[in-house]
Amino acid sequence: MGKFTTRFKMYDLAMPGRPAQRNLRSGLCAALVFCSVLSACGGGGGGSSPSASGAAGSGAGSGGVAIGSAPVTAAPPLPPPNNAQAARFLAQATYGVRAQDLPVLTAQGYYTWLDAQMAMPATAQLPLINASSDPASRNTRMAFWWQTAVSGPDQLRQRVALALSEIMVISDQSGMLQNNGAGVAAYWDLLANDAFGNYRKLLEDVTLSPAMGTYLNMLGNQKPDPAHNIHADENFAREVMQLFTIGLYQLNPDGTVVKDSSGVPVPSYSQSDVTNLARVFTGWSFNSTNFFYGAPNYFSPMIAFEAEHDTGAKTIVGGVTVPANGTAHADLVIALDTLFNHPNTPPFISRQLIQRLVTSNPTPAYVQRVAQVFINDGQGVRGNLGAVVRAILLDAEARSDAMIVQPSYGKRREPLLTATQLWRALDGHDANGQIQFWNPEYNLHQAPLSAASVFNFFKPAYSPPGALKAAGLVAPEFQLVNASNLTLLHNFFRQNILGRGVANTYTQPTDILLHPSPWLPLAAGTDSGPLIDQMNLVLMAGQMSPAMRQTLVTAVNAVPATDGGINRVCEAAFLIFTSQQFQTQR
Amino acid sequence: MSAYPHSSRRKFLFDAMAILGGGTGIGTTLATLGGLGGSAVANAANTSGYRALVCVYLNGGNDSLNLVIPTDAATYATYQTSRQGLAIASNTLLPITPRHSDGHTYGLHPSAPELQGLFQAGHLAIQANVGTLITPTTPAMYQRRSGVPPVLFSHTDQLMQWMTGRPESLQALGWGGQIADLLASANTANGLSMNISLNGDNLFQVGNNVLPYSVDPVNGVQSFLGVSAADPAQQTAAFQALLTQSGGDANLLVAQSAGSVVQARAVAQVLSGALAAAPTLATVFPGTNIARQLHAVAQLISLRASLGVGRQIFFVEMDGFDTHSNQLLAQPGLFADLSQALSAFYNATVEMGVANSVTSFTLSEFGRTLTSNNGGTDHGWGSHHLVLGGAVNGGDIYGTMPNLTLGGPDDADGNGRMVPTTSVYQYAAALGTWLGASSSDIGTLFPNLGYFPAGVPTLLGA
Repeated sequence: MGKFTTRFKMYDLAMPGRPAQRNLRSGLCAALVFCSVLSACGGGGGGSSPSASGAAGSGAGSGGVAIGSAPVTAAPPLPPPNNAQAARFLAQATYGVRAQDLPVLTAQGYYTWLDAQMAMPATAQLPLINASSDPASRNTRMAFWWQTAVSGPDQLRQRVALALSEIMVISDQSGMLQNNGAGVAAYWDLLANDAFGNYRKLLEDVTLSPAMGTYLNMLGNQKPDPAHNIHADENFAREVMQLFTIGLYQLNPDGTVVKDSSGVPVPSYSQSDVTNLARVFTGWSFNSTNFFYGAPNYFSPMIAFEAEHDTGAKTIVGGVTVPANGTAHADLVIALDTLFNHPNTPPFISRQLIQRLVTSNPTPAYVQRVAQVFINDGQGVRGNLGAVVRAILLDAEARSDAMIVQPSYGKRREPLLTATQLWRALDGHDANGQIQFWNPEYNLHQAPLSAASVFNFFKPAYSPPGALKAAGLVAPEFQLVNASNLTLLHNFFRQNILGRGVANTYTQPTDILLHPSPWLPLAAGTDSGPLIDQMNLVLMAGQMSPAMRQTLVTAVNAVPATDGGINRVCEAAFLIFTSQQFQTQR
Repeated sequence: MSAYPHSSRRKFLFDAMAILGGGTGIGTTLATLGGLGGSAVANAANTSGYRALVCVYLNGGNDSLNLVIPTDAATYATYQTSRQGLAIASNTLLPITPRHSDGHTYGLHPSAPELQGLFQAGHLAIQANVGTLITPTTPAMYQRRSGVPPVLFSHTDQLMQWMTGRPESLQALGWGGQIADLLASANTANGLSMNISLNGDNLFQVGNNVLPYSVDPVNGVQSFLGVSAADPAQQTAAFQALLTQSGGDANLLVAQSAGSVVQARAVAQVLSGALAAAPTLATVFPGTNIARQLHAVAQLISLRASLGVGRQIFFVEMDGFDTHSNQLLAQPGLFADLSQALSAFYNATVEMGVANSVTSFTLSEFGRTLTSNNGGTDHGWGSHHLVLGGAVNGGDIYGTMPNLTLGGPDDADGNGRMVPTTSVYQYAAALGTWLGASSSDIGTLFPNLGYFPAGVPTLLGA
């Protein structure tokens, strides 16, 4: 398995479109700092290519608009991280940092860790759910989701599955997917299985998933019947373009929107494209013997019923013709190939994956570097998601320490990921070793595969009113930030860190308690400084300001350590998790 | 649909728009050219007394073609021919009698008897076939994509255009937010936003200065636990100190969410104090989600004196209108929930003595196709909307009901996507004017209003 290395130019790290002078200065500063780490900075210099055989050798241009400009030389591989760098990386790549993970990563380095994670098979939730007493229950699905997220070994795969679940959205808030825990879990497993595979395969698997078929109405979509004013259902056809592949507007290779001479974004498809693509997606239903009345089967891909398929010729996006008299599957292959090969798809998907893992406002150059790997993984393969994830996590914009102080850098943590971080770092579980947390949406306003609509809990282009919007920045997760949500999120930490009474003891077996014994020696002395320093490292990747550290030390010192330190640990954790400094991942 | 601008003038206006990019500069030109039309007489901003708008967002694109249905034999036959299996049986429709007849008769969906009662009593008006338009538009114009709004039929884009009231523009502020910017001085400056959402963030309420404040309809105003004066002193002090530090953080994400926490805590204090002294409403609300939100709105309106508010805009939302499948099964529940909740809310405003001061209106990203996909409908364009309250000139249908013939004069594409006959500009201008915006402010907010000779509908009294 070849290692992938990233590459960049100095100006890649500047922040285009940011008016504030200090941003520009910091951007240059970041570039300079990074250059001193990676000597190949500037492009063209340093002909030594490391042993890596990744996309860096593909000759693609970097930073500029034109593809295929001056070849960029591969940068040397990143050295193994220190503890703080490891914690930062794991916050981007897992469901939360645990102290015991740091020495592993610092010893292995990024490449070995990534290789191991990508080689690991998915923790399959469906078999666990099917073996339970109530497979249809949403509660069962939630319990196994938490178990996988908090203690599953395939952390990177599951984290990417979460990201994909917020791009190719289905939701158990909808009709037939309510009370269908197993059917929804099968979709999650599909995303996890395909997380490092090819996007083309993922796209087809998603398209033929009965859960997606149910959610966006491709299942049972029949050919038009003009005599009865029946047209093909457009729901899946529209969203597979708008959300899963090409997006509404034509994109440059760096993900910025193409505009016409009046400054108006140029649409990437028309209503006619939607109508015709809807006709392509006719004729599919549950894997059974009857298109209309077949028994629901959420565990096997949909199958084609040719009699219900529209066999007329169709012209879809880009003027591609789907010829007449094709089978349902042959037509579908043409359509999915067209969307997969559309120039929008690499930057459109790459940018969203960057936003889910690393930062809300990647520079266009970062988007383009990743999109270039989507286009060609270095082996001539388009759509290699494993290579895309490596490119995202190993990019200068993800790894350079200098990025941390950029005013626009980072992302607000998803509420679900703050809960998993809490329970991973402080070993949260109930008396049976489980996490029966059934309704996370109540306090966290988020639950896996449970968004209000196909537009997810938040949209990639959401720009919250205030300083962020004024600066032209987006912050998708801020769509969940409002007075009532902030209050309930705060109260989630109050309840789950401080709310279990003195000494953190079970009053009911289903209480989710923290088990912080490894932390207690740090909390036992007169000075809580060592405890705060370790929490700073694990929870905030060492990014805590001196003022914040001092505030925490003072507060925690006031808590008696006579209980062995549990209350001190909980006090420190409560104050950190409820701080806005923690809530932004940098 | 009667008059369109002469083509030469339309051409001129489009050229002007292309040059100006649909920017605000065109407003004065149009006001001079066409005037604001209709009944709009120049008026100054009005912030006396108390008035509130309640935006009822029907999420997903409501199929209002099955809410307001023609009942005279010939027109019903057209509806039935176009709708086929999705048509509602004529003998189940609830008749309404508009004060001004357009030569046809109409009925409401059988699940909306409360709306029928409100219409007949003169409290509810229907604005026919409203949608995103840049200029009066014909199917032929749609077919050659001439002067039509960008990205029609897309949920997010059409919702954005409805909420900004500016389909011709890429501006990012809501019309409810911008009107609040103009009128917020009517309220005591106690930190409480003029715009309150019962369903979280929404673009409609976002202005330059006014941002929506969210209240949870179930739990009301909650406080931050563990950090009050009653909690351990070192804990509360540290939380406060960290909050202050984060507010000054150089990272914009940290600083902005810190500001949101500060606002949430401050306003929670103001509101919870007022709520403790609030009277209990005798009006019984249903247990549905939309009714819970409207009940919370009623409770907040009951605090208007103690909170010192003169103008408010509320936002509530009801999900489930994206009826791509099983529409005949879904619609009875949707319309019943909406009808019952709106009725309870109106009754509560009567109980509080503010029926004439509170106007509710529906907003939805689009209507739906007349044709079906065998069981459901797809994204359409124009749609009928409801305006409710004591100040409403109710019991009437405003605008022009569309011709429901497939391929007919109002069908954009042969699938029964109705080309709107009233623009969002006109609809929003009527509501904003009633709340108190001046005519010049309305002209600035909706610069394309002058394209529409019918002007601002007379939905509401002065």
